[in-house]
Amino acid sequence: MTLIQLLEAGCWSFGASACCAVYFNAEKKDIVFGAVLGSIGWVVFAAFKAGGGAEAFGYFAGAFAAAGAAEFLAVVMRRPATVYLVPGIIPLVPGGGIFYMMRAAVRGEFPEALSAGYGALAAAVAMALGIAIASSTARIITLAVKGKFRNGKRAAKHTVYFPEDVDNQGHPG
Amino acid sequence: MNQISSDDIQQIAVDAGALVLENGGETYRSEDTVVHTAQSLGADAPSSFVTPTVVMVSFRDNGGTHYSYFRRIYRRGTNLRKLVMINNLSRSLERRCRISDARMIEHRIERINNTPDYPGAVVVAAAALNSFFFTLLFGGSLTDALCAFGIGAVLRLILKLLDKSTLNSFFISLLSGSVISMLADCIGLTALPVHTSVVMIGVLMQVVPGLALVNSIRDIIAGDFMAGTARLMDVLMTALGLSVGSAAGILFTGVVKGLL
Repeated sequence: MTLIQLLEAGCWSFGASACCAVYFNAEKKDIVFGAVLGSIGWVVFAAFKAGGGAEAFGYFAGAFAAAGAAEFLAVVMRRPATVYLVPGIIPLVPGGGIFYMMRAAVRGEFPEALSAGYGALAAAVAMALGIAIASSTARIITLAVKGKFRNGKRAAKHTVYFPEDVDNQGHPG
Repeated sequence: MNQISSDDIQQIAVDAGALVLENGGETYRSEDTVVHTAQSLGADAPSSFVTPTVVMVSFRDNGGTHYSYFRRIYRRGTNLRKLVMINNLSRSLERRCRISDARMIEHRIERINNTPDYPGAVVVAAAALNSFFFTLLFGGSLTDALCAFGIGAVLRLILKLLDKSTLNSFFISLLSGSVISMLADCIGLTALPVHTSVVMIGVLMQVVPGLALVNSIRDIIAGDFMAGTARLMDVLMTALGLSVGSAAGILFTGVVKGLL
């Protein structure tokens, strides 16, 4: 895969993620960030895949990159990380795999169904692991920065799930 | 406990958790929202249990009486804007602890619930463009992408029209699978140089449960086994609906070819 192809793929995944964010009803200023994450995730995945690594590792790396960036943005923009994570991993999700699995199963082609299903499951597990590791890392870093190790579990939960206190415009309080 | 009654705490906590769940939040986020909301309204030792179809809360009041309340959830979608708003509400309740007025909070939840989406035309255009880009991403040519653009718009239009109906999600997947495959195969019958399977998967990315599959594994990793397995079943049923539906396309092309 050449650099040009990689850039091209980055553009397509940017567009796909941006459109996704629109029909998932994200706010206007969140759409661009979601799209950038989508393109980062896909480019990392494609680069790993082109480098000859295992496909599952590509999924892991892509999801890790997108989720790490989403956690960072969540703190900076004072939003829940999900808002950036959902459009960010959309190009990578193994939707095609699970569809092919079911289609092969319905047609009675069981070896194909098993192989497609295994691929989809491996991709999903790799991505979920990447996301879990990224968000745990973000939690540790947040705690370290805020120096709240001593306040125990409750303080930890607050810093992670509700990164900053904000009020939406137009809402009292 | 302050002026907020235990009934109001139950109502508000479950409403907030249900909003997170119905708009695409993770299971742990929904549970956390319920617990934090109940706690900041004055409940003692609240705990919650959330699966994709139910939100439950239970807690003690100052007198040691136990309360518990649940809500059945029927529809789940993804609405990132509402997710941000409910997160803000939960966070601001937590900050201001015991000076809240129950009616005002209920009013705010109501308002979040009624936040308008993007207009239908914008959503349809976005979905069409989404199919266009996915087709290019999966290696389709420009002709393929343009076909996907058209089919994606039709699909989203149908989904939009069915949005208010009470059809269950399996039937909706069945319908979208058959619409996509029939349209894609129709284009395949013409003289256009189109790769039908690439077009189909490009459009299908709108409806395939890939995100739900990843979320189900995330739930299982996080230890929410009930929610994870329930979501996994949801994924399998949606994929089954889509693929059975896509058999309609094969039948349809068979009939058309027989007639020609």
